[in-house]
Amino acid sequence: MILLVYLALPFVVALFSYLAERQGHGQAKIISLIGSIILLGFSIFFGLGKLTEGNFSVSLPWIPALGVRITLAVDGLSFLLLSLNALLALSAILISWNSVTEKAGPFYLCLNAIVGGTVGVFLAQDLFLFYFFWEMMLIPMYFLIGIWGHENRIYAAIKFFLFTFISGVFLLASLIAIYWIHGQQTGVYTFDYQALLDTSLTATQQAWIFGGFMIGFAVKLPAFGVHTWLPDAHTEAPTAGSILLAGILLKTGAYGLIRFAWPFCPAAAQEYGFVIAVIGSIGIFYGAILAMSQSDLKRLVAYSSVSHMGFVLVALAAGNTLGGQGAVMQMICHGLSTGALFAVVGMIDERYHTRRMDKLGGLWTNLPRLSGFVAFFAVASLGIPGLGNFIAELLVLMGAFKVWPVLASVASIGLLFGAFYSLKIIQKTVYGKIAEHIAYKTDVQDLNLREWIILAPLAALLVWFGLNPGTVLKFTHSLWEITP
Amino acid sequence: MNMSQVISLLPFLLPLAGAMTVLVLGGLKVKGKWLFTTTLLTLVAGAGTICPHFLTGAGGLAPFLTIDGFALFFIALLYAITFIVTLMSSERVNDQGVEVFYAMLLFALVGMSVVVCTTHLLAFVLGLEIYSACFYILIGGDRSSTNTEAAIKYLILAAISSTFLFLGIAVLYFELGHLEFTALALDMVNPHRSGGTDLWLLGTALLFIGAGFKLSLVPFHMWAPDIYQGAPTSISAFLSSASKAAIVAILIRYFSIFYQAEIFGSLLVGIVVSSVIVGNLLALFQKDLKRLLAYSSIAHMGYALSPLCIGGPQAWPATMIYLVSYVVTVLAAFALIAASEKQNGSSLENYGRLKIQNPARALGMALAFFSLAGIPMTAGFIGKWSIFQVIISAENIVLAGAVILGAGLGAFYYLRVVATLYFGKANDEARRFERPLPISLRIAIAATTIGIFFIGLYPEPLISSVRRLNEDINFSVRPPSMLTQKELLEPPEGTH
Repeated sequence: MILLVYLALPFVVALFSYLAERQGHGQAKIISLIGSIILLGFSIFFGLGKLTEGNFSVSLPWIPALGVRITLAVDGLSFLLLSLNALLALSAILISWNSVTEKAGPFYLCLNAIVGGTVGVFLAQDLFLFYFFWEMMLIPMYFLIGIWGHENRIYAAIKFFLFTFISGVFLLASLIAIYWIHGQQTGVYTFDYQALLDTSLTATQQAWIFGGFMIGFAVKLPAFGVHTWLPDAHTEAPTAGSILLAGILLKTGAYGLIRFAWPFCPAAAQEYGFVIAVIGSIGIFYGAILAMSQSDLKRLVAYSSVSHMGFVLVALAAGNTLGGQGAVMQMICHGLSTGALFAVVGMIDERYHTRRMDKLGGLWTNLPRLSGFVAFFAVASLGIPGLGNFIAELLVLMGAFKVWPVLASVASIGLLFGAFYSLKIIQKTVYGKIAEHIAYKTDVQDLNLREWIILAPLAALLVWFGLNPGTVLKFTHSLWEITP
Repeated sequence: MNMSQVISLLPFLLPLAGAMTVLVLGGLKVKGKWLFTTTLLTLVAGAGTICPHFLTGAGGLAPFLTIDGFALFFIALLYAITFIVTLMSSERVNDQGVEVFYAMLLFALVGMSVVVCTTHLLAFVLGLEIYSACFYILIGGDRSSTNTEAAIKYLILAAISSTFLFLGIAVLYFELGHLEFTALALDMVNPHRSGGTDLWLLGTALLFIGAGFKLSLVPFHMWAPDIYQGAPTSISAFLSSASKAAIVAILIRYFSIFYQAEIFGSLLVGIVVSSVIVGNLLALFQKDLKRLLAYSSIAHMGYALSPLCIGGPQAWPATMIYLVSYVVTVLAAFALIAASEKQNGSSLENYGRLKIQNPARALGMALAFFSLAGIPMTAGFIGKWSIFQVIISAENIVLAGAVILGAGLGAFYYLRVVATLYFGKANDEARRFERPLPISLRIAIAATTIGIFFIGLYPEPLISSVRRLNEDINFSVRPPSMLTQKELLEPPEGTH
């Protein structure tokens, strides 16, 4: 039952913050903030419980005619992503605290609806329910980008929606195929995840279904080739939207692969593993190279996401425990570091109204604390030892090396490329001569308390995970022994 | 004719009586709002007479009117549509000659009800002609030039369509000597039929072409956009929902009997695939909402018929679920256009104002277009789900590809509408044009948008009632595959 409350909470908060904003100004953000703190509290509470026994799971009838139930459960993987979700939701709300004043009610409605949709995706143990939330998420994100975004927002919003919606149809086809085959085999037509896991699929069926899953999830991930929506959507979205997109929405793609594609089609995953690893490796290089050549900070961070998520794909393709753990670690740390990078870019943008690196420079003189954080998160995304990202990338490459030594060796060069663009961020914005544009503005303040509250926990977690990766890894260890 | 038969025919007789009453009252110069009320009361009473049927089972005047569960489902749907359309057209109550309008709505309802429950080609043609004739007048609307142009176009179209139908029926009768579905079906598959040729294939094809015109399937679709744009909005809604539902119903009956995959399968697949793709492609860059909905209806009829290409007991429930979800959605879309038409016209570019004029209506419109695109939470998703399920289970790659492609193309232009609604240019000036809506139109909008949500979030009643038709009330005629060898050789008495 507690999961139902947990799932309903963001939606209730969304509704209330919308209604409250109609009554008086500035209410929506307070309600949203309280809601996200409660959400985070709940998430931590799940982590304290014994997740493996499924003691939180709940199952209610919804559409008996189709065999659809509202089945929710939380396991280690869900717990990690739910916590990340709640934490980044909190950051997203705090970052929009002063910047979103116009149409604040609808803004927080959309923001909380996105959070609720992702909660649904991570909790659903019913394929229909999963797809329901998977698609539902698109709508508030579409409006968030389209209404509160930057100059080219409408194009970006439509592109984002079309890419994910069309890929979703392929996903739908795969889900229905499993449902149908299971029904044919057992006579029981159900969308229950655990029941469907017992379905035995032939090699051909697996190949088709796996293909559908891959298209459906790879777009969200995004994998190389279907990533073109990402730079636009990330760049044009408001800062809160970018944080949620990079931090959480990309993770739903990886989550789908881990939860559905691999367990349902292990043979196909093995057969096409190398192809997927190659696509992932191309993504690593492609994202990094394009990130290097960007002059817009936000676009740079967006392309770096393509690169980082390439590691996740390589790791999953390897299909062993090392790789799988690396993938989970990468998901969490990328969520934290990239979410934080978008946050600091948003803070710079708020102060100087530019994200162009040629107009920035020498920030350290005026804003030492903010610059410190820029440098910290940039080197985190570079994968410096001592921070979580390093552990993640190391695990990924070790996992991949066990299967494809050559490919893993080549992919590890991608880390070098990562260093280029990460150092470029530091070089161009933090160091150097004070740019003309910045020199004019003398009244700019350094980090305030609100911004400290956003950035400090993210940084602290990255350090903690770097020194103590077991905190994350212990939750998902059991996951990889099930799947071959 | 005994009493119980009269009672079973009440859903047909009441609207007839209501229409006559409205005409007489109109002649007596009774105020328009009373005519409107009479029409609504007739519809409510008529809907009430459907209920006893669900208890007693099949009745009517077989084979002309076979009132089985399947027919009742569609009659109930038609009643609901007519009710909504009447509510939508409440603004015309003060027009001159409005009694004709309301009478024609009721007559059309009778005609369509005949179509959905007949298993006899003669009664089918009769019902079809009744409601087509009503549509000439309904589309004619207030006799403005655009209305009249649309009416004449529809007249020509209907004439062409009828020509094909009559020719098809003539060929069938010439070849087989029957007009009743079961008898036709039995003879078609009877290997011992004397002097048999395959002319009946031609007859069936001609029948299907006639139906294709009415459903505006590709390649018989050219008429749709002009008529949708030219007709009064409430009538466009009526045309795109009720008339299509009636034709789909008779096609389901027809194909459940005549269906032979090896012969009609590829023909139907061709028509369905081209409807889905061409309809969506033509809709892509439409600038007028009503034209856009016309083209999208071409595609949607393609989706709705796609399960029938596959056949089997799964197919027609999926078609019915799709049809119901489409009908609810398209009624909502047209009702919302009708509500904003006076201020904004039907040109898409003006609809950016709507969010300032009336945020709730903008939200409803976005909802309707999301439903057309098939996003979860809306009725359209349930429809998409049900047809997709049939297609995937048949492993039909061609249809699956067409539906996926169509969904992608469709999302593009439905999203363009939503984008205009929310991101389009608007200034506060626009609020000046806002005017209060009549209460009945508000009810129509509320009912249909709630319907979209209800079917989207809790489709259980719809799905299980459609499936129950399959289990409890068998079709009054069985497909040849279900007939025994003996029956095939010796057609039962009374079917000639």
